[in-house]
Amino acid sequence: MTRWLFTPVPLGRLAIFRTLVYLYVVIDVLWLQTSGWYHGYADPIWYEPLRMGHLLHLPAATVVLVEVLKWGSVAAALVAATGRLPRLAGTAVAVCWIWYMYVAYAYGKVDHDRGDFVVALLLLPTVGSTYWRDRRLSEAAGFVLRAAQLAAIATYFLSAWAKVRFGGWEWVNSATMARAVVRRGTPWVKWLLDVPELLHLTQWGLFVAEMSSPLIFVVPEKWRRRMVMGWFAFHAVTYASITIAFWPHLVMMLAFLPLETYADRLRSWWLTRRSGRVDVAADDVALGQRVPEAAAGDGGLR
Amino acid sequence: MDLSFGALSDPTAILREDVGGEQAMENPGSSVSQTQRLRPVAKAWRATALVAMTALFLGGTTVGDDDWWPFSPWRMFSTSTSPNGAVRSTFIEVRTTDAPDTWVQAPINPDSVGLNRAEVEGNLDRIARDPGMLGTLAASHAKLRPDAAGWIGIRVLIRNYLLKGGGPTGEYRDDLVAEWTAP
Repeated sequence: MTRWLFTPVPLGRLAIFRTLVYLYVVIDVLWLQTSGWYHGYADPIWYEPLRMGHLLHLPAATVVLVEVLKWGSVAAALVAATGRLPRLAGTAVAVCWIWYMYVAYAYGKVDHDRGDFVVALLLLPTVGSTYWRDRRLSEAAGFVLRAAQLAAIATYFLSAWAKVRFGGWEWVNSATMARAVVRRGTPWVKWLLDVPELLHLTQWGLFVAEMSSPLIFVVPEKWRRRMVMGWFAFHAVTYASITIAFWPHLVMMLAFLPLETYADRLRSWWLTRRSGRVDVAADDVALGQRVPEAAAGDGGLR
Repeated sequence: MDLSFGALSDPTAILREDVGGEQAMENPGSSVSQTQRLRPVAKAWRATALVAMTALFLGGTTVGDDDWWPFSPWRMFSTSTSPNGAVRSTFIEVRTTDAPDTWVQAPINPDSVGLNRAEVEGNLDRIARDPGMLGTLAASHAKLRPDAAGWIGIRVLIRNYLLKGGGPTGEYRDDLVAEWTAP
C-alpha cells in the first residue's frame, strides 16, 4: 500500500501538472467562479458561515476582501505556474483560492465539484523545485499525483453514495435528468424530454459508472487511459446538454496521464514543423551526421 | 539545434532518448539512484494527511452537509424527482421606477443582484419569514447597475412545471413565496 501510494513518477510530470493547475486557478478566478467577487456587494444578511468559517472566524465578504483574495490568487498562481517558489507561492495560492471559494459558497449555495481541487492545492507545495523536462523519478511527486487521482475518483464514487443518501435508491428511477433538462437544457437536447426512457437509461448508466469508478486503479494502464478519456467524453456531453462542467475536476483527471510524454510529442512535432521550413539544408546535415554514426560501431564516437 | 536534426531523421528517436536520460544511457542501472526517495518521517506525515482528508470526505458524505465544504458531500443532482411530480424553478419579478405598476421578470444573477438563483433558492424559508431581505437585493442591484432603473418592489415566485411519466406536460403553476415593497 505504501509503495503504491508513493510510486515514483518523473518530476517533469508533476511540474507540468502543477503548471496546468495554477494556470487553471487564474482562469477560474478571473472567468469561471466569479460569484465570490459579487458577494463583496451582497448584504451581509445573506452570509451563512460554513463550519470552516465558524472554526476560523471568517467574516462576511467585503469589496476589499474579495479584491485581495481574487488578485492574491492570480498573482501567486502566476508565480507558482512558472515553477518558482513552489512552496511559498503554492501555499499562498491554496490560502487565497480556498478562502475565495469559501466566500463564494457561504451565501446559500455550495458548488459540488471542487473538493478534489482543494486536495491538489494543499499538497502541491510538498514538492520542491523542478522543471518540465526533469526526468528524475520522485516519490514525493508520485504521492501528490496519487492523492489527486484518489480525490478525483472519490468525486465520482462518493457522489453515487450521496445520490443514495439524499435521493434514495429510487434515484435511478426518478426524473432527476428530466429535471436538469427542464431547468438548464440547451436547445439541442430538449428533444430528450420526449423520450424519457432514454433519460432514465442514462441515469442507470451514470450511476453504475460512478459506483464502479474505483476500478480504474486495478485495470491495466491502457484501459486506465481509456477510462479517463471516457470520463472526459461524459463531461463534454454533459456540458453540451446542460452547460454544467466541473472544470477543476477535469484538471484533476489529468493526474492519470503521462503528461511529460505528451509534452515531448508536442515538442518534437513543433521542432519538426519548424525545421521543415529549411528542410533542404537540414537534410544535408542530417545525412552528414548519419555517416559517422554508422562508422562508429567500435564505440569510438565519443 | 541538435534536437531538430534528430527530429528530422527519426521523430521518435528523440523521444526514446529523452525518456531514458543521458546518464541512463551512459551507465545502465543508474536510473535507480536517480529516484528521489522520501524518508520514513516524510512518508508518515503525508500518509497521515491523506488519511485525515479521506476521513473528512467520508464523514462529509455520510453525515455532513453543504456546510462541511470543502469536505461536503458531492451531491450534484443527487435528489430524486418524482416522474409524476413537479420541477421547481425560482424566479423574481420586480417593479421599477420606470414602470411602478408593472411586474416584470428580472434575472437573479451575481452581476445583477450579487447572488445567483440557487443562493436565493437556498434561502426561501428565511425570505418567506422576513421579506425585508429582498430589499437588500434592490440595494445591491443599485450598486452593481447604477444606470438601470431602481427597483421599488420585488417578489419571489416558484414555477412548478408538472411532469407525467418523467416528461413535462407543458403545464405549470406559479406560487408566491414573498413580496417586498420599498418603504
